[in-house]
Amino acid sequence: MRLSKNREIRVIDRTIPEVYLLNKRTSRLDIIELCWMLKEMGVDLLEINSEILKKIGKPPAGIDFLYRTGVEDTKIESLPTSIKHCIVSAEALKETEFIKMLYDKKFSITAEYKIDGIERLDKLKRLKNTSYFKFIDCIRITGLNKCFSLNWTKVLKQVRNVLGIGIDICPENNYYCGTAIAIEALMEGMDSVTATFTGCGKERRFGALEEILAGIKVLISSEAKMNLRKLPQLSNCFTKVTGLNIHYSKPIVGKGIFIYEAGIHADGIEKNPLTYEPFQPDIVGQKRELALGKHSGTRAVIVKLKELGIQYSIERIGEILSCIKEKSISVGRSLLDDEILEICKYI
Amino acid sequence: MRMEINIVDTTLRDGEQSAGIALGLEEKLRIAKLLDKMGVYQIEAGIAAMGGEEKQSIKKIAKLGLRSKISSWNRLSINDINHSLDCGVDLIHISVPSSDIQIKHKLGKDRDWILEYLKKCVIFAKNKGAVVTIGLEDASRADSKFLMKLVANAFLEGVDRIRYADTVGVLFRQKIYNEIVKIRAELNIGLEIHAHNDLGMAVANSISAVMAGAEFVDCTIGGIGERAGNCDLLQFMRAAKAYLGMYEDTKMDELIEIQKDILKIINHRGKAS
Repeated sequence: MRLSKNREIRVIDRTIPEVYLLNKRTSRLDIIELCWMLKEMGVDLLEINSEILKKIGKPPAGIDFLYRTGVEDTKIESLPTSIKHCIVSAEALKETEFIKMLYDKKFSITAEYKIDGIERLDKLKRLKNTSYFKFIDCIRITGLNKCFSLNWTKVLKQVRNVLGIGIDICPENNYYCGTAIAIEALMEGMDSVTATFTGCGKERRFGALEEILAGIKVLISSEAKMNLRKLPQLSNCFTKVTGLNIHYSKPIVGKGIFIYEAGIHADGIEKNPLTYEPFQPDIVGQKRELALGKHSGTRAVIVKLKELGIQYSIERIGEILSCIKEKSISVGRSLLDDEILEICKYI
Repeated sequence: MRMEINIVDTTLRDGEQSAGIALGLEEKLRIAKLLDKMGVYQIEAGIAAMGGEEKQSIKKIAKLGLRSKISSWNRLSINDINHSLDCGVDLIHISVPSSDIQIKHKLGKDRDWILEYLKKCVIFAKNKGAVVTIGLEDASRADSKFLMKLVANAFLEGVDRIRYADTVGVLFRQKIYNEIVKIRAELNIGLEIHAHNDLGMAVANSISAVMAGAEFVDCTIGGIGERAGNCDLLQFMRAAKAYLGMYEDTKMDELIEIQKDILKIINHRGKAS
C-alpha cells in the first residue's frame, strides 16, 4: 500500500483463516468474495493455509497470498506457482531441511514470533546469529499485549536495525490496545502490519483491520492508497459467513456511528461536519443521519422537517421540539419519521 | 468499593447522547445509584440547561447523598451555568471549544473571545461558590500554544481541574502522553482525559494519559456515547490492571453484574412502542 511518494507499507490480512475457524462450512464462493473485498480495500497479502487452499482449489489470479505452512504440511510441494509468500512458526525454523526447501523453492519466508513484553522483543536481535537467519525475509511479531512502555518502539527499531529485514507487526487485542500498537509501530517506521476484520479471531483477538486502515488515513497519510467505501458490503458478507453481528457502534463499520441527535452536535455538523466528525462518512461507505429525540435542539428540528417536506411556522418550533423530547423519553429512543409527522399533525 | 483511578462516569451525559438513547428521570436515578455502587469518583449526571425532566433528574441525583460526586455539563454560557447551579451539584463542568474548527465554524468566534468568555464564566461560577472544572473541547485538534494559554488562564482563575477532550477520537498514545506531560510540567492542576473511540483507541489513549500523570479518566458503561462511543469502563479497568498493576483486588465479577443491570435499563428503554 502506497502511503506517499516516498513510503510504502505492506498490509496483510488474516481474516480468512479466522473466519474459517469460526465456520468450517464457509463456502468457496464466500471465501473468494471476501478475498476480493479485502484486496479492493488495499490489502496487499491475504493469509491462508492448506485447509482454505483445499476449499478454494485454484487461488484467484490477481490476489497475492501468504501461505501458512509447517513441517507437517503435505501440500507444500504442490503449491500453485502463483503463491510466492509463506509464513512459518518460530519452531519450524529449527527444521533446517524444511526451511531450506522453502528457500530453494524461492518462497519469501516470514517467521512468526509471539512476543508479549519488551525483554523478549529485545532478544529477537539474537536471530542474526542463528544458522537459519539467512533464509528469512521477514519477521512477524505477534502478541505484543504487554508492549505499553514508552520504550517499546525504540527497542523495535533497534531490532529492525540489527536484523536488517522486514518486520511485520500483528498485535493481539487482549487489553483493547491492538489498533493503537499497530498504529504506533507504523508511525515509527515499521513497514508491515497484519490484522483481521473487526479484530475477529477464534482463539485470539487482533488489532482491527478497518481501524488500522482508517488510522493510517487519518493520522499518518491522507494520500494512502486504500478504498474503504465497500466496508458496508464487507461487513454484510462477514456477518453472513460467520453469523457474528457487528456492534452498532463498532468504530469505522458500526451502522450507528454516523447517526447524530444531540443539539450541540447537530448544530455543529450543519455548519461544518468536521466539527464533530473525524472524517466524512462516505470515506467508509456510510451516510450521516440526523435523528430527533430527547437531546435535539431547534436547529435539528428545522433541518428534519425540511428533510421530511413538512411545512411549519417558526413560532411552533419550540412546541414541536418539546413534544419530540417528551415522546422520545416516553418511548426511550429517538423518534421514527412517522412519529415526527404525527406530532406535527397534532400541533 | 472505591476505584483506584478517579473515574468520571459520563454514561448519563455523553453516553445518553448516543443517538437512540433517551432516559427518563427514574432510569437516570437507578443508573446513578448503580454507578455509585460501582465506586466511580464522579457521575456526570447530564446537561441541566436542557431543562424539563433532564434538569429534574440532575437535581434529584444531587440530592441522593451518593458517595460519588455529582456534576453537570455546561456550554460556555452563563445561562447554562445558572441551570446547573440550580441543581445543587458538587461540580460545575464548563466545556470550552478549543480547536479553531470549533471556535470559528461552530461558534463563529475567535480565540480572544474564547479566552475572555472562559474568564467570565469561571469567575461567575466561582463567585457562586461552585467547584469548577473546564473541558478543552476538541483539544486533540487544537493549536498546542493556544491550548496551554487556555489551561494557564483557567488555572489563574482558580479552576480545579482540566479535562482534555479528544472530541472526535483522533488521538494516539504518544500524542496524549506528550500533551499531558507538558501540561503537568507547567501547572499543578487536576488533569482528566475524555477519549472517544472513533479509531478504536479510547482505552489505549486513556491508559497513556494516566501514565503521563492524568488522575481522572472519563468512561461510560459499555463504552456508549457519540458515534463509536467513549472509553469503556470495564475495558479500561482490565487494561489498567494489565499495564499499570491497578485494580488487583477489585471484584470484577461484581462490576460486570452491575454493568449488565445498567445496560438492561438503557436497552429496555430503547424498545419501539
